[in-house]
Amino acid sequence: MAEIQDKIREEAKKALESGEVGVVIGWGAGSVPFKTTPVFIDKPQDADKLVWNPACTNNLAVYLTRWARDGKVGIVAKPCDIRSIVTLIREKQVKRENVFIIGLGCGGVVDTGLMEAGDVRMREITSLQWDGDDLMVTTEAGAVKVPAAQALREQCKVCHDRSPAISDVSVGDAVAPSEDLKIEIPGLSEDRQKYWQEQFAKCIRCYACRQVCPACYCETCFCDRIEPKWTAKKATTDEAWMFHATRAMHLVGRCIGCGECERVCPVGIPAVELARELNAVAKERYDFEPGDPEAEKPLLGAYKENDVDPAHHSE
Amino acid sequence: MRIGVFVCWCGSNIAKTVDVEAVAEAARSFPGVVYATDYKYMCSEPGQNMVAEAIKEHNLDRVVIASCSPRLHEPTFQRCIGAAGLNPYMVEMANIREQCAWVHERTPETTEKAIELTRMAVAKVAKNVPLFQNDIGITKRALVIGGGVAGIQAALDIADAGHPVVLVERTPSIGGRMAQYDKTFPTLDCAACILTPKMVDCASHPLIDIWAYSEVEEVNGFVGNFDVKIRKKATCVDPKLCTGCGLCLEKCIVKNVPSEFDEGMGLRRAIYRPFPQAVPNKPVIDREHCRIFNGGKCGVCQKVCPTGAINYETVDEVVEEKFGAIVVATGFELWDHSAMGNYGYGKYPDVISAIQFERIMNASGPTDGHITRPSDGKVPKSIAFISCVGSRDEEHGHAYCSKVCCMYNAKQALLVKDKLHDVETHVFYMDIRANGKGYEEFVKRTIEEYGANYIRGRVSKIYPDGDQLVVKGADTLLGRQVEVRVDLVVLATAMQPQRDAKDLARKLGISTDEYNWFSEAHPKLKPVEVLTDGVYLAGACQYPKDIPDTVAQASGAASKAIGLFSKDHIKSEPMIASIYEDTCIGCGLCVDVCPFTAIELVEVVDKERSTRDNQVMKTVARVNEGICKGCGTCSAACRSLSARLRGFEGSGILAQIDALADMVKAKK
Repeated sequence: MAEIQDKIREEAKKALESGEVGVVIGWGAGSVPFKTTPVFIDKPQDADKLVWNPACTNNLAVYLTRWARDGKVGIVAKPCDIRSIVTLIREKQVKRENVFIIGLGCGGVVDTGLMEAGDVRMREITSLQWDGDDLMVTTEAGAVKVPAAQALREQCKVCHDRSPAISDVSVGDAVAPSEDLKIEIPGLSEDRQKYWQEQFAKCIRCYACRQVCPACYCETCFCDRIEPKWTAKKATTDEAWMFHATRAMHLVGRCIGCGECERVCPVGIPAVELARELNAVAKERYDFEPGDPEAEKPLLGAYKENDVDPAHHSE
Repeated sequence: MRIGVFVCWCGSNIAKTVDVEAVAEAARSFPGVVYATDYKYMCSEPGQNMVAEAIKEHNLDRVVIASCSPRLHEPTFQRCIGAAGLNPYMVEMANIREQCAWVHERTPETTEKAIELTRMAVAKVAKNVPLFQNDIGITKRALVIGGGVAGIQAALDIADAGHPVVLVERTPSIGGRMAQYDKTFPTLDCAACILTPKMVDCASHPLIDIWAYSEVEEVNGFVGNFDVKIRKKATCVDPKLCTGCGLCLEKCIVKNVPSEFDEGMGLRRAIYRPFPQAVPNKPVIDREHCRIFNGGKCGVCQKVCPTGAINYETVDEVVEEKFGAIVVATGFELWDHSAMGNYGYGKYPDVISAIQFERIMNASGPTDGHITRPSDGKVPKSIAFISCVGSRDEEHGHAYCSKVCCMYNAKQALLVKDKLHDVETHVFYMDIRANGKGYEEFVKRTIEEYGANYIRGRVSKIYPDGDQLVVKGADTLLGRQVEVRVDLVVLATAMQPQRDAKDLARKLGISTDEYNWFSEAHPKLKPVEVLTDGVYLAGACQYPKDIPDTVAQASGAASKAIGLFSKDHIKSEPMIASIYEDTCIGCGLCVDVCPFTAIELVEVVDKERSTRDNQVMKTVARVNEGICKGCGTCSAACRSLSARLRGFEGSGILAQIDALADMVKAKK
């Protein structure tokens, strides 16, 4: 991983030195070793601030709509982040020629919450590193191996997209998981309604999910509109339901499942599950996968004569 | 806000199941309502007067009509309140007939539902804003696609009304199918004698341009303002220099190309005109067969041309032209039923199609009108005509009736007898469909005076026996098998849409049915219109038609175009989509989902980010008001709520939902 990190720094430095890009967006060391923070490198000598480790969770594509609007920027991107970039390009929010993608192979990033729930003493961590399917956690007391199932983020457990779909330079090989881990999708029918009722009851309408989402780039969000007022500002379950349900509908075929919304939610609403379910339907009925560079049009904008008519679709 | 509510009985249609007086009474307490009443027929003149008077007397600024579907009478009441001085779009219809009275019994709940529907309409009308129609200029010039008799008639009618017409035909000559026919039923006029004068009229008409050997490539724009790209295929013959002398046709050394016009029964050269009366009467070079274009040496036509009109270097030319109306008259093709092996078409030379038989009977055809059979040139002594070959036959993809075959079977059976007095004619039919003027009498004449042997039943098999053919089938009237030995078999093959009909339909925004026939806007009341305004249908591109129906429809299509051209402007429909550019993020989803291609992405100044010294652009969607039909698909798809449908703004829809929710809550 250190090797890959060196290559990232090297590529970023080259791109900045040649003047090809004005800034490289990547991850930098966080305040603690198990966290990273987005960094915006605009001087070649600062390229060494870029890091790559299993804690590089942020989907940096969220910054592109602003930063790549008027000029070319570099971005260090995991395969899932690249699917976000593909979506942004297809939806005309970013021009392909305005992004220099340093694409990474990726074996998944860690879920610190999950690790915390285990035996790992987070505060003592000095470094994180993949060792095959296990996460090598080094603390002052020594190194321990944590199995992937206890360390990986949910979406990384089922991710099949481990090498960059598009990139300008590709760094590091894809790491494929040896076993196909499963994730739980919440129960069906009335259980599901109850489940979401409970989830949305927690919502404080802070909009962190929206702000961190690369696909939520509207300048004026529907929920900030006064006329027509589709949803009121008060943080009741009903209004939260309206907000999350509408946001889920807006993400159909567009959410690439990076899970950032879930990660940043201060009250732990797993919003990504909604999009994940809708995307499963899109895959089943229309063979559509969000962020697929081969797809010419967005899911809702594409029509084929043999498309399933949902009105006549029997479950 | 002063809303008036008018509840209609619709005679007993609504009043039978809904307590209309109770609805009016309830309406009086709705927020904003200052007047409510009920009346037997709101749409009648007294009813409309009642609305107009109430507007004046109670100083109403908005009106709700609780009656039938807005599809039926919304325009009526828009006009009504418009005449009374209100903006026509300040009216809402509550559909308490189709969506209430007609689908429920007379119960208190039915009346309650009518009250709720009316309450919702009141909530919506309170949010209505005045809408205004715009004037859109029109190009008074028509494009007619297809140079058959339909296209010719439409072109002549439009041009005679004083408007320029471009008649586009993809083959080298206009005339179409009718030019191939011998005589026409039921009057037996010679097809050429009645058609060629019309073709010449087209050619000599100062307002008609005939672009033969040309095809429509792309259609953009909207009613009154179409931009059409037309490919003029390279003919290698300069029409300005060519005098049509025909010397090149005589000298061309490639003599063995099957003639399309003669349906393969005759041969033509590589430089050719389809038939002697072709209009325009200038030949074209068929590059597929000309030696020059196939690596050979020749150039004879260029050498013999006295005016130097032949140039092998010419290339296709694509021109872009503006039109206000488009008449689609692309006709049909005949089913090549060689797949239906039991009839032996293509296998036995003496099994031919009816159109081939037309050419054989035609005095200017490959046999100069002498009826001989293709295999050995002998005069046939007996002929079998078989109808419904592929038609009314779901197995072979045409469940429909081709409509004209019964008549031309009878015609051919009659005409052949005229020429060969002792020929024996057998006509196999399923039903005789002779439902036009003089048609039944004609068939009767064929049977009674010309001795045609009509056998009711399908033919199962045709096979050769010696130099004759045996036609085996059932006689369903006698309930037994029949076999007739004949010298020639003529098949009435199914009419079907042109194989590229779907492509053209897509270019023009015409919908098609399961067979790819073009769909009219309404099967009864809009038979020549299609869903794209300014595009009209003529002839068999819509469905099998005979010549009288085709010509009638062509004149109908022409009159629609002329009607359109009688105005200098057309009014745009105001209940259409508009984009709020300030919040539009330019993602282009609306462009993808618009079924009418009415939306495009444009660059505008980004007001948010621009400063006095630095103008920043952004991409936004823009609706072409002439094309938009107000379907609202963009509005539903737009995430930033920037695509809005005028007359159906979110605020009005939400107000309706809120009103209903309040009533439901109050009930609990």
